Amino acid sequence: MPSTALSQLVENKINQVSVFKAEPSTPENQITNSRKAVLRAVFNPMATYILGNGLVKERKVLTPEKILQTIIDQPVFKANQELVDTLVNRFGLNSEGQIETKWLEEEALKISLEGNNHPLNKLAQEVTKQLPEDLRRVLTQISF
Amino acid sequence: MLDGSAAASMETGAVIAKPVQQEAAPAKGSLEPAKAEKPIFTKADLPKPKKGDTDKDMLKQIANDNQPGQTEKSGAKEKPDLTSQLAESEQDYVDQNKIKMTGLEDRYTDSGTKADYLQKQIEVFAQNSGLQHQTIKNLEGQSYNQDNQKVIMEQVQTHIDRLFNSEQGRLNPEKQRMVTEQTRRYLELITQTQAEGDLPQNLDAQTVLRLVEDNVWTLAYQDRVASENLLGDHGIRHIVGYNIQVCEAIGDELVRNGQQVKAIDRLIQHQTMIDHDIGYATDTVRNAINRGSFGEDRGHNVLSAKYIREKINLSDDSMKQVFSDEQLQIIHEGILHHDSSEIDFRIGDMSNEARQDNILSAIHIADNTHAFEDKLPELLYTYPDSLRIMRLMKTAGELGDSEIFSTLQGQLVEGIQANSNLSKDDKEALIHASQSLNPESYKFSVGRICGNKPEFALSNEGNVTITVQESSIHQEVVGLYGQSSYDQLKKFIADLTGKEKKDVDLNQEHITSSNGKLEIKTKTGEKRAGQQESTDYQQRISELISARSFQDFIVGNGAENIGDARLSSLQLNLQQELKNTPEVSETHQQIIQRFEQIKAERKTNLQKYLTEQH
Repeated sequence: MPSTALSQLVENKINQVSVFKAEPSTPENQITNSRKAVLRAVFNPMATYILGNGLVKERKVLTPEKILQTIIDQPVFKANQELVDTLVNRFGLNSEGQIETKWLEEEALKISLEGNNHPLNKLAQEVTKQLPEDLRRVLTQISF
Repeated sequence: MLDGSAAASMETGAVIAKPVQQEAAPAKGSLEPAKAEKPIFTKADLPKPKKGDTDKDMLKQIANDNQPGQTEKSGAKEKPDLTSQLAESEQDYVDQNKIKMTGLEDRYTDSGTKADYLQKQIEVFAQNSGLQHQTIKNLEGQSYNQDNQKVIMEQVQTHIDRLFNSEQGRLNPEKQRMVTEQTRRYLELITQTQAEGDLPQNLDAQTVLRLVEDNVWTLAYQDRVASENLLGDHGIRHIVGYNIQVCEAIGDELVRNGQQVKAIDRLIQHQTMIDHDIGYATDTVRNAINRGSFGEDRGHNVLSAKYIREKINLSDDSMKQVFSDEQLQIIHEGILHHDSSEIDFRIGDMSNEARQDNILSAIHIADNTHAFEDKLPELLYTYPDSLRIMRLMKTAGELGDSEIFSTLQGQLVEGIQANSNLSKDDKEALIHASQSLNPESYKFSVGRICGNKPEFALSNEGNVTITVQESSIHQEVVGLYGQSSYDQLKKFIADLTGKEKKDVDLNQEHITSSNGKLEIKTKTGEKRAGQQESTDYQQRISELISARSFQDFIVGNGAENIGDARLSSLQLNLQQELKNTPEVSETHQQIIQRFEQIKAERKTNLQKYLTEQH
């Protein structure tokens, strides 16, 4: 898939999920949108990795849980079992049924405050490191 | 291509011409007054049909009514003169918009928007490139025809070359080509219009030369002014490269559906487009925008319309000598409401009214959809590295570091100065534009549509479908600077679909207007434009994204550096969270501390990147 098409696919996928999709730009929505921007910044490398490697069918909706579960299931990240365990425990990824994604909005402040110490930031860094050159380019394109 | 002959036109009844004694004002004192046939082009001139009248009966009645002197003899009610009618419609526009467009009344009456003032500026601009209107001996006393068309084109070509591809003007072969092709087409259209009976056969050749020279100068002047600022493009690419091309394409679609499109219809569209954005080039708007007072361009339509109305009353104006009052009225209407969302294409209706609706609908579609293409300021086209610098300026701005910001601005100016592909005038304009940059010049926006080569198709019911390919490169980048263009596009779609502007989602694959008259389809994903279809500009941007050092700066290195894009979102989030946190709380202190850490980290990364670049 051409990189430009992939960047659009990532953006479209991310924007299908309400926890990521920006609200209309109004003063009341400023805080919500700044939190969502943090979440997109963290999840974009993962979504790029997943879609760039064809790890999910295009029709599937990429919820945060789906993204995390797909990423931590990849052998390349097995080395970071501690991180995976943290994510699973913290966000209850193995629980059955529909997971409420509201927690992510509350998580935005923690991601902002903890920086590289936050497990989601850590995972995003891990994934960015593993991206091949063409996918790094796509991520740059999305993040520009 | 046009498909029309005078005979065919007469059969359809779409040509309604009556002989009118036209006194052509001499251009530079060299013209003999021309006796000309002037066409009529208003519904008011149509006779009222009686029961049982056929089209032929109607034509006969028109022909009888149009005998010389008939109108005067019949004691018909005298119509207000052209200037009064045009002024009245401008005043209506001002009255309707003066509340939402702050300062519009003042701009409208400002001496800087007067035609003689602007005309003088355009003349001085051309003179600075060593150009002036000349009387050509071979054209003296000649009527315009295919033979002297070549002489005129050769003469105008020297102006085009000087203004668009020389050290005395701009150095831009792409614009030189576009204006050359447009001028050639314009002259062909005049010839066809004469053949179809909508312009007089004895049109003075010297006057035609003067008209096209005026047009070329006007285009060049607007292009120069547009280069000085960071508004969406209002220069040659917009006027000639997009709007006129779209009008022609829609004309072809109408013809394909069996609808009559006459050469005069296309000629009117060319002239409308040449002048529709001249309001931006008036000192009143130009100076305001250049000093950063955005919003003062609102209502530029009425300033453009005013220019045309006053221009045709100048003693030596060529437009007035070529076009009839009725044709000028349509041009004026097209200019005044060029961004209207009224779309009403008529197929299978050969009336003048239908043709007029088609002319105006095409103008509205063209001007409202340029946001689908790369409607970017000149600085970005001519000097794509400005995009990289603007991105760095965003960081400097968010850090509140005016020193780094000034350094970046200096780098941009140095780069422009050192560029051997730019003329002195190009450099002046671009440096002017670069000095108006601020950290907000760059705005991140996800999911914008921006396309390549929109395609227009009309159904036999007059419904129009616009198919847009997403740009092969970074739609956010391309859309960044066209905020107002997107607003215009959104407003256009909102008006057509009956939605609120804020609810218009440009990412939908299909948008259909509530009356079904317009459908916008986007080719996304795999169907979007491929790399091979990208422009030189787009390829340059692609190179920028591919540079490893730039990638590291934006997305980080996967280790300690988490990249400026993510740091920016963290910083901006903390700024917002701070407002929501009690000042005495521990979280408040944590936020402040972390905020400063992030700023320091970003500054280090930026300085490291800049050092590596040097």
